[in-house]
Amino acid sequence: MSYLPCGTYFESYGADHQWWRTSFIKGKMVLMLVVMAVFPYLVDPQWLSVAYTVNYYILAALGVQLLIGYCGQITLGHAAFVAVGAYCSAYMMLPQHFPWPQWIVDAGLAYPISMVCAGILAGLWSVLFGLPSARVKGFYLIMTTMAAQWITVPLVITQYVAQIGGRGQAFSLPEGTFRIGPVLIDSDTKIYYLSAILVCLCLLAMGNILRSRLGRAWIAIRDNDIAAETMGVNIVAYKLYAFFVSGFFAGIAGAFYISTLSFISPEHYEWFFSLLWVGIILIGGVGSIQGIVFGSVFVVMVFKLLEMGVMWSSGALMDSYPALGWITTKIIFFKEAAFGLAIIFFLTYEPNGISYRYWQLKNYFNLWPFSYTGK
Amino acid sequence: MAENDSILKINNIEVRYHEVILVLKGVSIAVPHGGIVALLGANGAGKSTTLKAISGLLHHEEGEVTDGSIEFVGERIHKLGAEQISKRGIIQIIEGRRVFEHLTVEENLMVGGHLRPGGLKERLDIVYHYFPRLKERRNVQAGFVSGGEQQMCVIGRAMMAKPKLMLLDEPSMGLAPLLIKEIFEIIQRLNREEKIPILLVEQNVKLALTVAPYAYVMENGRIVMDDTSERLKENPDIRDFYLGLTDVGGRKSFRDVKHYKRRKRWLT
Repeated sequence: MSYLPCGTYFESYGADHQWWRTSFIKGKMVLMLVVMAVFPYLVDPQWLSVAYTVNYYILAALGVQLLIGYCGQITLGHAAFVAVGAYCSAYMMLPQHFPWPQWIVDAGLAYPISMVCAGILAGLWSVLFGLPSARVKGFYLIMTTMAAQWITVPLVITQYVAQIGGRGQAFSLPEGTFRIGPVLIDSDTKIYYLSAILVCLCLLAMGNILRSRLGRAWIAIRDNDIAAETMGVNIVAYKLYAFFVSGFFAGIAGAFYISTLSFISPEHYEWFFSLLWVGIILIGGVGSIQGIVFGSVFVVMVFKLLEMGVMWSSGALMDSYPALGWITTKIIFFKEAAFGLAIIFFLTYEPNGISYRYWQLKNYFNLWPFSYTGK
Repeated sequence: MAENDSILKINNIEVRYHEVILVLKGVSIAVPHGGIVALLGANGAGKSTTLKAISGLLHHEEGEVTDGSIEFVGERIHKLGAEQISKRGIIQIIEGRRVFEHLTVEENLMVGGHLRPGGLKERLDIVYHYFPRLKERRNVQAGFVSGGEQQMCVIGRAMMAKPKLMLLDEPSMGLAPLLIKEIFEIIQRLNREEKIPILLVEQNVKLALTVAPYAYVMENGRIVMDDTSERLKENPDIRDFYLGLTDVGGRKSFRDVKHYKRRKRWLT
């Protein structure tokens, strides 16, 4: 299973810290990749959009998890950095704005390059709003990160960036804009695969960073910043690195998300999304990479199931009692309420999130049938 | 103590919190190369503040060194930040066993090697040589190990930084007597075998005077006495106030004698 047999030990530090320590773990990973690869052929096409929305939320919440869960820096303005990434990539993808050399366009490299640039720009923008973290902590930092949202989306993006080329609010993204190498991203299946690859790469990157000197320094700052400082960790610099990496993931998320849209507007990056991504990590589990996945799946599925429920019940209601159709308009808002209730439920009854239960379950089966507790 | 042999010299420093609260009122201490020096005193005497002044942690509490100087191997360091000071090799072990509780014991140790990433494995081996129990627990989250193991973990973490001077703040706090004995033996071995100079802040005066050959006594932000441990052990005030011993019959009431003696001998 996930543990080595009793009495068997690794003999080097490298082996002790490797990703896939046993063949069981390797098998699990391969199985997961296979399921991800064949997923589009197993489900109804409507679930593809659900799957890539989950992946988008994972990419966006990754940065929130890094800041809150691993570095202890609370953020409530993450949608701003996703927006910066999205607009950067969108701007670079439109040929009338950005003078790409023809060979890059022909090779289908414009989108991947714009994605990396979006990550870097969003990362730098994030660092700008992370600067106050050098002086403030906790509640006060929440206020400064909220400022990122208000300054970026309603002011910088709506009033200036979205106006480029006299376009007004909506920045249209014509079909055929997104191409990676020879592959044109023009269907839900391709968008899904793109999202799945990005999620795998970003999760792998995040996991590796957290095992490195940088990741250990972040966790040290979160657990005890004074002790970390006595060990020579430059608190301010490492907090800013965290803001950069978090913004970078947000930029990638934003750049990916535009491939699912026919136009981009500031309304896609409202403050609600900043809260949503914090909610996702609260539900999934703070300080856990799996928590991001669990939280994203949970939230998107709750939304989707509620939506399906509303559609189904309103259809049935309208057919049977047309006069009661007004109820349908009321229950549409149950979606947002359900998100709020889910957060209250998890904070009250499951403060460690879904990943904690997963961890308990995993340990139970790792030891099964010889449980430590004797149960 | 011969000042030329000192790796650390604190020259008459004053420390203020929030620019008005004067906590240290002219403290001078010297730590010799390769030696252990104890800093003793009651709660609130200013021992931890002295350590924070050395390690640059005062700014966390809005404090600063407003007068005097701190010299480490001839360089003035009292204006430097904590990170700069730890880069120079002064590593403080803060009171209260501040492990990084969500990291494993081994990851905690590796954070200790943050400033010197080369040769981590060799240094881990050295730490495990001194603390075999940490090796057994190396993959356990530090928040879940016992208090004694946490104390070993923070000392090991400091060792990983290859310290030129170790500042130990109350390593015996909240530990069982047998564990305290074990930890102090290791501290002595570290000093003897690894040649790490140690400035030890401790309330357990009996133990501190056994470990350190030289000690300073602090009261109300001042050094009121300093001498070799042997002579301090014989000093009637130290015997009265810190060792709980007396030469004139039974034990005296702390309340009856302490204030009078302090005022008469030290504070005037």
